[in-house]
Amino acid sequence: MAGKQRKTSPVPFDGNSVTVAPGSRELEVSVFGPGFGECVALHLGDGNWAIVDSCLDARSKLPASLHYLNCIGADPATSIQLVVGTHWHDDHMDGLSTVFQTAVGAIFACTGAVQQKDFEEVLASWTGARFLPGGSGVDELSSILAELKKRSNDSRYVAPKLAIVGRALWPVASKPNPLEMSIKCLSPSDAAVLVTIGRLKGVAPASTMMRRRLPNLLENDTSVVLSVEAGGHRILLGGDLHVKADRSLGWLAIVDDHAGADARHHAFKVPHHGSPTGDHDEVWSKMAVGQTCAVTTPFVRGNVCLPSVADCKRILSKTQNAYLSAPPIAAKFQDSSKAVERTVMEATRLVQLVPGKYGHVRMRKHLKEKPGTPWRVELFGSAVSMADYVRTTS
Amino acid sequence: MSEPSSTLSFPLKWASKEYRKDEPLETRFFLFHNGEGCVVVREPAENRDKDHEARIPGTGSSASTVGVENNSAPLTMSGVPRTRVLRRQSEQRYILLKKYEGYLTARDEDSFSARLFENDSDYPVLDAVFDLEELSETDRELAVEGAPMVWTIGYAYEGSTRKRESSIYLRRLPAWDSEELERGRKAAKDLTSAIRWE
Repeated sequence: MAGKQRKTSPVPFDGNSVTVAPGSRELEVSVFGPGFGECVALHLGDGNWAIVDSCLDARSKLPASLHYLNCIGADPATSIQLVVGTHWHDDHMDGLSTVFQTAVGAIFACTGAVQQKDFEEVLASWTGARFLPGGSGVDELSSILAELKKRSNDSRYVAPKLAIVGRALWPVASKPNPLEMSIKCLSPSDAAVLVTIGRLKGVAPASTMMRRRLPNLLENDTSVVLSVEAGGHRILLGGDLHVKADRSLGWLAIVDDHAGADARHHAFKVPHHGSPTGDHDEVWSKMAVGQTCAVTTPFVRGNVCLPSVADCKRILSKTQNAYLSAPPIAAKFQDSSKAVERTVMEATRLVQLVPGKYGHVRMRKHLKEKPGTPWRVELFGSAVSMADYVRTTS
Repeated sequence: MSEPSSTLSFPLKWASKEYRKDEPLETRFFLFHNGEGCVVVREPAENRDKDHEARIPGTGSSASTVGVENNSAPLTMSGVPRTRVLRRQSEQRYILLKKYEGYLTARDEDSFSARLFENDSDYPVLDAVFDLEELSETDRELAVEGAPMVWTIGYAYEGSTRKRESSIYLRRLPAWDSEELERGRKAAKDLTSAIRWE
């Protein structure tokens, strides 16, 4: 079979300040996003970390968080205290089981929907890597549950946490909390869990149904949204939650429950790759400070490229401090065999390698700084300011 | 099959590999017809300058073509070329250039998208959008999100003809059966019941 090693995207971690670890009392939010998948690393203080979701590093093919921690000289096995899976979409779960298996002392938290009996049906039937290439988010979750089962025999480890609206994932009594940080779940609500369970019933396979891969559950109602607070600095990690017409679901439910003068955030991981349903005017006005530092990750699949230029302009109308972990551009397909290349081009409407670009946005701030002071933002790899991206694309 | 129909020149690149490797560029071929098919007679270059004792009627060629039945004018055996019968070459074979496996990520009225892998560890992966008509009519009914797909690209040989082929089809995996689902349920229950959720 003809073929050659495909070109990989630029790697953000070569020979620059990325290897400098944060100070023990320094806040850091690092957002990684290669065009398919995303990951957030949050410094808990004294070299301890929380990892939210997972994607792969372009060159090492390791989970981005593990690669980054190795780069800054932290030992992932002991420094990761908390691993959160916001939802089981493939683009948020790639490598999460590896992160959790590596982080031997970490607590795992995920959406409350997984405790439902119907989710067992999903696990039972759709864990299908043995049949189909390319694994899935459910496979990752299944591996994490297997790891949890292994650890459950060892009383040293705290049981996994279900992320439900209002629940604090951090601090944990058994873990140090030098920054006196709190990490609270703003989503999913009980209503969202019920809606998702109903949807899971719909996709549960029946005997006689032809085997296939778990369809993407398009709605992310049970995506975990986190509000992080330390020393008056607030960070909103939006997961993949959408805006729904029904105010009891999605972002508007969060706005209604939590909006208030003390709930405005200074940094915002914009959900769902900056898509039009990923944010809402009320989220910006009631939950974020003016000119909040906003970061989103791209998503490229088939004809879908997020965020669009229009999405970027919409976000820029809310804050000029907006960044993309990478532009939403796929890599051009190439093959060493011209015959293969020609055939692929002829047989397809569109063909691309995903992910294409890969980058990392790092925001840091010392805990003693006033909450309103701007974040020090560093861009690595293909990360770009949203304003620059719009300018160059236009 | 007594007379050659014509003397033809073929670019050597049209010939299959087994011919090309040791065939001098000056090789000539004669094409004969009979009631059932064709015979190609190959004249090696080393025979060209020999003093041939027979001429092939109608060609003006001095090449000898012994090995071909000729009732009217017996031919001598000097400079005997090897003969190749086209029908014997028509064995079909296939050279695979690329094989992708993956699954459908979306489908609409006239197109579908797929994520494709050469190997399970591929990263980045191929993401493609196809016209629905690339699938056979029967496969179109199976084209739903999550359906496993195979795409092969290769050269198909039929005799000396080489065709570049793209073949897209959906894998027919066995349906889930109730016993398997029950086993899966038990395994999932074992997994989750061992976990103390907070």
